[in-house]
Amino acid sequence: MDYNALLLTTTEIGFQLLKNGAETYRVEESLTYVLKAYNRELTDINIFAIPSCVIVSFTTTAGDSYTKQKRVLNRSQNIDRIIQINSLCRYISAHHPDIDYINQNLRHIENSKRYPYKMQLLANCIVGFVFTVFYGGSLFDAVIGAVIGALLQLNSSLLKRFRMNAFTTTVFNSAMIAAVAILAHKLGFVTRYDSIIIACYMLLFPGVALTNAARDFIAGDVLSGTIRFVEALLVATSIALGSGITLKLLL
Amino acid sequence: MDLFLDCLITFTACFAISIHFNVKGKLIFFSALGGALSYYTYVISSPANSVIIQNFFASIVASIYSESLARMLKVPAPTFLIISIIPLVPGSNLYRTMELCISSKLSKFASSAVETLGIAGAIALGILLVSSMFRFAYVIQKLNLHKKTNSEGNV
Repeated sequence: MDYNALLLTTTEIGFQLLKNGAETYRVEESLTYVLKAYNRELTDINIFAIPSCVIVSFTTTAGDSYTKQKRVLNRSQNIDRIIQINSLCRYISAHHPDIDYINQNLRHIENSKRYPYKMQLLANCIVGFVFTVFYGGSLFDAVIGAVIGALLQLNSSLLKRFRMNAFTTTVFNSAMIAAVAILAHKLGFVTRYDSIIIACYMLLFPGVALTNAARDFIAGDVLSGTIRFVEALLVATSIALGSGITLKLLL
Repeated sequence: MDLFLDCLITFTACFAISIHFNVKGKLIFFSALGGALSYYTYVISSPANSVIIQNFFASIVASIYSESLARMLKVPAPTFLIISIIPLVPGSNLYRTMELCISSKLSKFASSAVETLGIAGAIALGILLVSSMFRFAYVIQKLNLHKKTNSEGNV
């Protein structure tokens, strides 16, 4: 039994789960299942995960102790990958495949593509359009909302290159939304700039952090829950901050 | 009729947001349906006459929907939950709060901020309540299974 390979693979699974935005209790549970399924002789299996780090450690029957830790620096929400890794973990705990097989599958999942860029742009447009109507804008306002939705996607991928943290990115994005909406209002295109701004907030809102915080609290993981909750609060504050400053300056 | 149209709008929006979060295949349809469902619950619980209670009920319904669907389709519950609560997130409240803050109406700002926080808390509490019920059921099921395998003698 190559314990080192087992350690590396398990840590990689945990890393991938956290990186794509899974809850931390899911990471801890899945890795424990994987290790237990793999080798019944391992004792003292300890997995510790917080949203930005995962630590895997176990002891073999010979008394050797193995530990590896991996930091998770960039996180983004990719639900499809979480689903794939989750079913891989189910498969592992039922069928105990080779480690090579797991690694191959992990690499395959890691390389799985998101939707094409144009389709993501279109999706953002639809969100902007539909929510502007929902919050009481006219159809013409909604067109501007759609344009801002697309701009948001372009702006996010631009800001990614500067490697800013989530809060600065959110402040910039939210300031951009407000600036374009108010500019369109001043030029006379738009009657209700507030519904446009609220509609585009939806693309920035930390709903994921809030959901995961609640779910981590249930699992008894108060530390991770708190981290996510504070994250949600900070992102919400930066949304308000970015558009607030712009509103104050331009209006 | 108006309610139906609004539900259709939220369905479309949630459908698009699912693509934003990279949900694939038939799951997009189910998660978007969750969004429409939670909005529908929000509207029909308006006799409660409190935004926070309405959000709480809607969040409970969204969580029940997501957790049961997750068990049926064997995918993680957040797939549906994240999308389903999108129509509930207090975007307009956040905007009003921010607007009151920059026009320095401080007492109104404070009450608006508390309301926004209250809504977020109500959503989180709804998820907490339902998910812990489901977790409880899951643990009991696992304990029963454990007992059975132990009594049969093959661990």
